[in-house]
Amino acid sequence: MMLATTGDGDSALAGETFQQAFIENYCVDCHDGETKAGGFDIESLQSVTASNSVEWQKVWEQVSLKEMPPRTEEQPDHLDRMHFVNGVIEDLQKASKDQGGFHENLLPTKGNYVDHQLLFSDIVKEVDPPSTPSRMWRIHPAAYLVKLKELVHNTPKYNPKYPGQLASGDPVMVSKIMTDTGDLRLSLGSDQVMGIRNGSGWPNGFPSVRQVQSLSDERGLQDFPVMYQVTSDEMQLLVTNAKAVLKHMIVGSVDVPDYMWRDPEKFTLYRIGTMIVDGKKRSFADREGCHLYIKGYQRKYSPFMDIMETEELPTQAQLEKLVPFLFHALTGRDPRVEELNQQISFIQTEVKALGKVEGLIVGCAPILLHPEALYRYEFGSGEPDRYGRVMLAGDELANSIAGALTYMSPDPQLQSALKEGKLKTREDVLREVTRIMEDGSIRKPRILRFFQEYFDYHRAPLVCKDTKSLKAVQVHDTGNQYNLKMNYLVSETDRLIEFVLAADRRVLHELLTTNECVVRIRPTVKEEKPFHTYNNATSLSFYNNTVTRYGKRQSQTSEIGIEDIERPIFIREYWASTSVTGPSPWEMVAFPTTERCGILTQPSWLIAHSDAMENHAVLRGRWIRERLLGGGVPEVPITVDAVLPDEPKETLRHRMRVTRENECWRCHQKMDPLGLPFEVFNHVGKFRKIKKGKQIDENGNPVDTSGEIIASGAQALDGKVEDAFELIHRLANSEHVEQVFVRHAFRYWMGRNETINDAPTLQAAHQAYQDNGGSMKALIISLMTSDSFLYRKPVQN
Amino acid sequence: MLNRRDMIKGICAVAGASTAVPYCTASAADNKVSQLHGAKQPKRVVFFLQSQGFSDDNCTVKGIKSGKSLKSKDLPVFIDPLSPHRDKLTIIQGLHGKHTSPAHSAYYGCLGGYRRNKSTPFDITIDCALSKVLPEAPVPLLSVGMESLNRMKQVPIFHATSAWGPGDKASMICDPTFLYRIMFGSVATGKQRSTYDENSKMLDFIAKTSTQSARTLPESARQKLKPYRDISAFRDSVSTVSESLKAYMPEFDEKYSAPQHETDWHDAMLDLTIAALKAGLTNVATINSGCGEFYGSWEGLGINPSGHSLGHLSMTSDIWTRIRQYNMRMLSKLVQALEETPEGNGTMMDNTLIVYTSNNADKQHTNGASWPFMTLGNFGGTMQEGHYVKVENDRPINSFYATLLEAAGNPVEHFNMGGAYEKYDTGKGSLRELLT
Repeated sequence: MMLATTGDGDSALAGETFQQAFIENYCVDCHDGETKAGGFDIESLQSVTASNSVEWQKVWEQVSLKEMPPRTEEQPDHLDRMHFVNGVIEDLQKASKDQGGFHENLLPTKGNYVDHQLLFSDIVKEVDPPSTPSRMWRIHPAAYLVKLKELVHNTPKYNPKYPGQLASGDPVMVSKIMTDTGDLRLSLGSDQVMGIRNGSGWPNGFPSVRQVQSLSDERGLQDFPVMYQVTSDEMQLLVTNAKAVLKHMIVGSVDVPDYMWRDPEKFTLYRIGTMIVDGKKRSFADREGCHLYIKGYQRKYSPFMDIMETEELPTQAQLEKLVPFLFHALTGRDPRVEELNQQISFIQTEVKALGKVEGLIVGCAPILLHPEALYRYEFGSGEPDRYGRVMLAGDELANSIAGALTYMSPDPQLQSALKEGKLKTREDVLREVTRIMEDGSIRKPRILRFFQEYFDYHRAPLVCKDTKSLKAVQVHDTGNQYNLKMNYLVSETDRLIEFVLAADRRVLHELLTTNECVVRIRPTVKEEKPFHTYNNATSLSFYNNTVTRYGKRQSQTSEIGIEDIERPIFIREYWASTSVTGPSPWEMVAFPTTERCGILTQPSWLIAHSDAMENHAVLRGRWIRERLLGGGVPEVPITVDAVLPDEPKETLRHRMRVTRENECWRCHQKMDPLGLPFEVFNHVGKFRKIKKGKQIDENGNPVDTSGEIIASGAQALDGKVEDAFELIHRLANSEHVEQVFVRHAFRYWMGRNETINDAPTLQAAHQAYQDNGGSMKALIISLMTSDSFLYRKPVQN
Repeated sequence: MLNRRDMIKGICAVAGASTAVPYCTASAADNKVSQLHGAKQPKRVVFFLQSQGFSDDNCTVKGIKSGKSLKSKDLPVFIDPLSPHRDKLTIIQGLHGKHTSPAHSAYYGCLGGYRRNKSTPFDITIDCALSKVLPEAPVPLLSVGMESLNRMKQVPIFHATSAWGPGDKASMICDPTFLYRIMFGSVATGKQRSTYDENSKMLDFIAKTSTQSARTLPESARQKLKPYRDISAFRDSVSTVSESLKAYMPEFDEKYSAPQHETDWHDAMLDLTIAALKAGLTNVATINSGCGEFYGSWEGLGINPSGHSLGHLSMTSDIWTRIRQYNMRMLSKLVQALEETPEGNGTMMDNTLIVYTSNNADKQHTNGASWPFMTLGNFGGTMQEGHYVKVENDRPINSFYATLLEAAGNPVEHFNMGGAYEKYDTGKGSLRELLT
């Protein structure tokens, strides 16, 4: 049955009549007042109102995800389903207008609610071409911190020969080990440190500026404009941060020990736990001693230094240099004349009232809080086309291009193009984006960030493991030592992704199937020794106990020079150091293909999708359902008691029998059979032991690794699998999975969910990916030159 | 038009779908306290949440049956410092929060009685709900957090346990110097005053320039800049009670400016909370020891382990005994402070209820099956005191919150249970045994 039109066929039923017809045809048989299947009576719901919006949200969810009508019943046509769902969304928006509106469909977790088949076919015709609603996109807290970092830290320009070295434009570190909570934090003065002796010294040793704007704690994509705005209390904290950064710029570091601050040439520092100060040996017992400072101290230049050279108050000329300097660093543009005059006048008033230092701090802080320092404006300019769309203005384009790939302001060439009027057309954007993508000397941390948010492996350090359950799988690290290894594991996956991206061939397939891993090797151990000698000291202990079965180290001379690196890459993750020397701790290792198969078999991913005690088949299955199959699972009802029976000696599969009960299985069949094949690994990602030819779990139970792909949306994928490896290979070879990957990339780079209007953008991006042999570069360039990226349509109030 | 209550709440709000789903099934949320309870009336409530758990063992009194008085009973060592206040103490066991899936922390689910979620509260929490029915105060909710010194410095404002509605988080202030400046800056002298004035001028400048900037933006975008304009709302509201604040202003001593240990700042936070209650700045306070998460630090008590690993210790271990006793000493100080402050014909304590529990039920890795509470005071004569109560029939923490709302004059059938009560609550409405 078809209720609506294909665009060139039958006429559609109008609005409410169509909704009613849909409900009568597909819902009331089971959900009328009498039958009330599942306790749900759609007949009595009436039209959408604020008070029944919760029920209507369920309808929206169930129909969008094709949970309803049940698969055994007659299914609506794709278009009818879309029209019905869109109608419900529209009604929910209207009904919730006075309660803050309905925004659920805009959240990244709901991206898959748009029918995949409609997006990658030509079923829908005659819709407006793609564009994005005009908006203010809050600068990601990490990007904001990078702006502040660039003001105060001396970090070298990125050198592609040393990809692990901390460089200008890199994100500020997020580290559980250093902050206990995994906070994002800029430690003022940490650029003067070459190393650290004791992990606990880091958070205590420096005044720091923390990310204060809220971030979602959900899995998956994090940075949609619709999710955030800067709130009043965040503003209060940003004031505090701004003052701390300005104080650091004006009077220098207050955290570097006095003796060093006074005369840095008088002492030398060693890495072995003692230092010589004024000719005397001193230990690293005190907190400052935990940090190994570089010899000498060079502050990052800013116009404040010129002002502070004399006792005099700042001159007009000095302020005319200072204000644009700060303005440009924070907003990416020069201040307008009125802004400049207003700001200078405010600084002068404050300096007069509070004295030079305090006056400069208070006077300049507003620049660090300027709306354009915290938001990226995307309104477009010029005459709207016949669809009401306008293209992003030149300066907006420059900021959007830079913001899509980096945490920095537009690079000099982009700024030149803007000044010369060469940033106006799609061709101009293609030229600039291609240049940046091809230029290996420009660090593009937002690309790696996409893979972190897509795969979620970077969440491994956030999983709190129970000490007993760690011991049960022969992991004896606790506290910071365990956290440190979690950071290693995440870094290793980061490096593997960078390695695959450097080759840029069949990127998704490679990421899902490679049996190569980057592992950290203790640098003092000689290469010739077999791997098991490294076991306890390195992250290899998370790969297996039976290490003798590892392949020999492969000699890699890759483009990213993993073997050539003189400085430990891992330092980037949690040390802001640039000058520790020593042999590389990283190696590429080829594991048996029966033991490792891409990111989903990396310990980081497996741990990120586990819980305190054991594997989490539901989380793993859900990840595959959403990120590879493009499906979804409705939110867990509040009535669900999401606890497995407490039977510690039984296998997870046996304990998960409760999810196969009637009311649970409808959703769990979409997850559990996809997650249980990963029972080949234990909850810290080790390949489980084999006894008499069969894998066993920690209790000696035989492990059943079978699974099944059910209702994938791509029939060829459906069917049983023996284990995770068969599952992954089947998925990796699927065009459908590739398209779902493209959808996620679209969301990340557009900062919103796709709509049916974006179908041409998605199809072109997928085509570009395929035509270029599975190239991530081609995919990104295609997305960033699409109408969805370039055009804005004003939002109607 | 927004009233002051809404405006101040707004300063603590975080972007999110702010749909006003009713938290209760009866009575309008803004009903004022009725005069049902004679001269005394519930006026204020203080929640004290300890991270990592509060177990039945910690509050089990030997040889006592439900409904019986605590008067002649010895309190267990963990809560022994409350012995002088036994006549005001009620120990409540038998409640559960299985539907909150706590494990480490239930976050908003602790005071909301719904599923754990660190990022987004699903609905209003009981402290905020009570704030709407108790007598109005300039600051509807004062939520403070206590953690390691470093953490309190680095994270002066946090969100974890309190919310005004779905997605509408209420702020927790964790830096006492920051709170001191906000509360007392306008009436202080010396550096505190000058910092306050400096910030005020700067905030005004920011508000002014952002308004100029907003003029050129479409209406939808202008809304995003509203927080710039609201930035000084909290400051303005505090100034309405500046005279009484002056009377209760603690000295800004070394405890604030040069704390030896985090416990100095914990104590300072308690002092500020007491001052805010006494000055009438707020009638609802939530004290989060451990900031509603699963960390915490008590070096000042001679306890070296800190953070998450503390949760791996037994709730009856020596370390947790010391932390718990420290909590109890704080509660005792709070009771004393309120008792010595006259109000009406009695003291402030007569109209107050203090609620103690954990934001994570009974232990670190818990399923929430057991969730003990303790209360101090009779909430203006509406609640029982001095008793041990074992709640029968598998009732959820929500039923306790419904009891508090009823005591405050706003009876409800269920607090935030949605459709879950059929599965998780065998009863309806309040716990009668707790009410007078």
